[in-house]
Amino acid sequence: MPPKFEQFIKKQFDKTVLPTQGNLFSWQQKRFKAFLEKGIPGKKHEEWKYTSARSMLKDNILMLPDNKKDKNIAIENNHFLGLNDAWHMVFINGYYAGNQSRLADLDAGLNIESLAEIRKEHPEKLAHRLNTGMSDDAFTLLNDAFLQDGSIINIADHCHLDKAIHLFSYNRNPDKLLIQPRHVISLGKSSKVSIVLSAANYYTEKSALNNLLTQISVAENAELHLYLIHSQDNEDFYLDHTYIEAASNSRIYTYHLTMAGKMVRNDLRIKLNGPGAEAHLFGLYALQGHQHVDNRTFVDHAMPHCQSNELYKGILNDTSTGIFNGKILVEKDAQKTLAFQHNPNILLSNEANLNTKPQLEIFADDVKCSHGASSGGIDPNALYYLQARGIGMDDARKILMYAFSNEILDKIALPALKQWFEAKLSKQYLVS
Amino acid sequence: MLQIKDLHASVNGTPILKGVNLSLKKGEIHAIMGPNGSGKSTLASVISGKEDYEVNRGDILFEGESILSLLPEERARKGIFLAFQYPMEIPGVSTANFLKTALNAVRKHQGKDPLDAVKMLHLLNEKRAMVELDKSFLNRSLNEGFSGGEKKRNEIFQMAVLEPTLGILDETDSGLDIDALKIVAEGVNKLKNDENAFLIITHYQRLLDYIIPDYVHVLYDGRFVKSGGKELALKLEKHGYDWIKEEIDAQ
Ligand SMILES: Nc1ncnc2c1ncn2[C@@H]1O[C@H](COP(=O)(O)OP(=O)(O)O)[C@@H](O)[C@H]1O
Ligand SMILES: [Mg+2]
Repeated sequence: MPPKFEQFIKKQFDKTVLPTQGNLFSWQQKRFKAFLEKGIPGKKHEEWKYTSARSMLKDNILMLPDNKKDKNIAIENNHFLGLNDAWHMVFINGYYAGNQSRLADLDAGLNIESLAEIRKEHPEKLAHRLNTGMSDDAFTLLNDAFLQDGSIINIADHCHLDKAIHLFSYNRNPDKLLIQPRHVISLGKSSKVSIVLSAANYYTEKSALNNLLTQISVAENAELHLYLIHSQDNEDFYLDHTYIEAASNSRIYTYHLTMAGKMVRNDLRIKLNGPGAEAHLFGLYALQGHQHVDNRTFVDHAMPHCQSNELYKGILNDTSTGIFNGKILVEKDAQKTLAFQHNPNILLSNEANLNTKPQLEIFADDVKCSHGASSGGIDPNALYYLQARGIGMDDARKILMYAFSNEILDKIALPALKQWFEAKLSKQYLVS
Repeated sequence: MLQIKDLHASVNGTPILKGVNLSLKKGEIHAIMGPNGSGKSTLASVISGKEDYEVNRGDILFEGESILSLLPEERARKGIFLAFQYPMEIPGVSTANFLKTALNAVRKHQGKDPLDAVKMLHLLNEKRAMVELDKSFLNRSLNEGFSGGEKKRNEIFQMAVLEPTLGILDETDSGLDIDALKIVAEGVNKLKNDENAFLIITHYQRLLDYIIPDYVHVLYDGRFVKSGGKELALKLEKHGYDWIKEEIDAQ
């Protein structure tokens, strides 16, 4: 571990976590110790070959205490992604900002609270829920150790929410902040919800380090739509961990929509933990400049009769980097598994970098699995077809890129969000 | 309108067209026939400007000017339209949006304003009804999942919307049943006037029962080896190409 960072983080732990003592302290302390032992992964680490964890820690990093000052700012409407009819929970510099949030008229079956609040007042409510058992990578341990703030969201059995829940993390400090939001979410039996996560920095030319962890447990027959969005062109580092446990007959839809980002690392893990559960994983990364997106997905088929469908599409321009690492594990008892994965990419520049790696580990015998990846330029025959009708080459390329992205946008089940993205994409691929 | 002079063209260094000459005037319809692999599609592609083909010798004049240095879209805007033998499927691009963009690009070239949404929709509906395509095709992805016949009718639909001065049909009749064939022929006949011209590439003379050509040319091994009137098509239908091949090979 870089010594400077080790010193910093130890001091922060002593300052912010040590005094809390209470029920959770011993667990946090254990996680922190494990983090220190593990250290920050280097380039040789199999999981960190293409994304440098250490480069994120190079400059001076700060953690701020919760303060009111930054919370009284105006937030540009664009950050709400066109979701006018949604509940918005806003976090500024990592801390819940009640005055910026819009949580009026919650449904009876919906309960939303700030994690910091619960940690302070009712730590016993949290204790049994934090350990997901789904990963003990260094940054997960670090998030565990601090439990800075975030949300606790419970959706009651049979509760169908018509409005989406938007969790927005906004950095309002020019310093290189380390923020570690944590969302602990549970869906009751046969419930249904759409949750949208997004982040932005007021100082688009400065960088912050965001180490987000979202854990979701989905009970029997429930349906989750989870949108994980990076659309602001900024200098932030984003480490997004999303751990989902799906009970029998539940349906999981995830959407990684990455339209920008100096460094975004998405780590999505889904455990299909009851028969009949299904997961649909969609991803779109449309990058330019020197943007870097590292998508890692892990689908664990732990039970029989589950299915997973995965489609991640990439468009890489300029010197951007796109990474797709999709792992599917079919455990011994997971007979009758259906698991499909596809990762097509369009490379628009010779200097763009693409690394795609599917990994299948299958221990059951009666399964249907397939995976595939492709990369290439725009299909010259399709281009010619458009040109032959009078459409100029540049416009034709944009139309085809839009069409390529459209397959993912079409899956977005929230009309307002879909509209917002269509507008954003067509602006990017403006056709005269 | 179209003059092709001693045209030689190759793909990846393999010569395919070996001296094609053709003169097509306003108001005319010419048919091009010939065995598989003789270079018919190549000729159509070279006229429309596909970049895979290299012109090694000769020239193509359209309305008096050489078009060889023009991009496919520039040729299209000048009024050259190729109905493809194998239309591409383009997922994610709706037929309506595609045609709107294309028509407005052509109109812009002609110094006209873009059509407003209402007029555009009206035009698209009028023309698609002409080739008996259902309304739903407008919002479907271009050719995706269309049957062979639907793809061909979609090509004629596009031609009807864009109203080219030179329409080239590359085996639009292949694989069509007689009803679809009539729809295609009717579409062409409706578009036909004294100011435009058509090149009809076909294998079978039956299309020429409905679209009456002024001339029929036979392409063999990259050259026109025979030209004549409509009766030439009938003779080819009856006797095949062997007698022509024998004649040529004997020379
Ligand atoms: N893109 C291409 N690459 C390689 N060979 C080609 C290509 N296009 C055409 N050819 C060859 O050129 C010849 C003429 O083909 P084509 O013009 O399609 O004939 P036709 O349309 O008369 O059947 C054939 O031998 C074909 O294999
Ligand atoms: Mg052909």
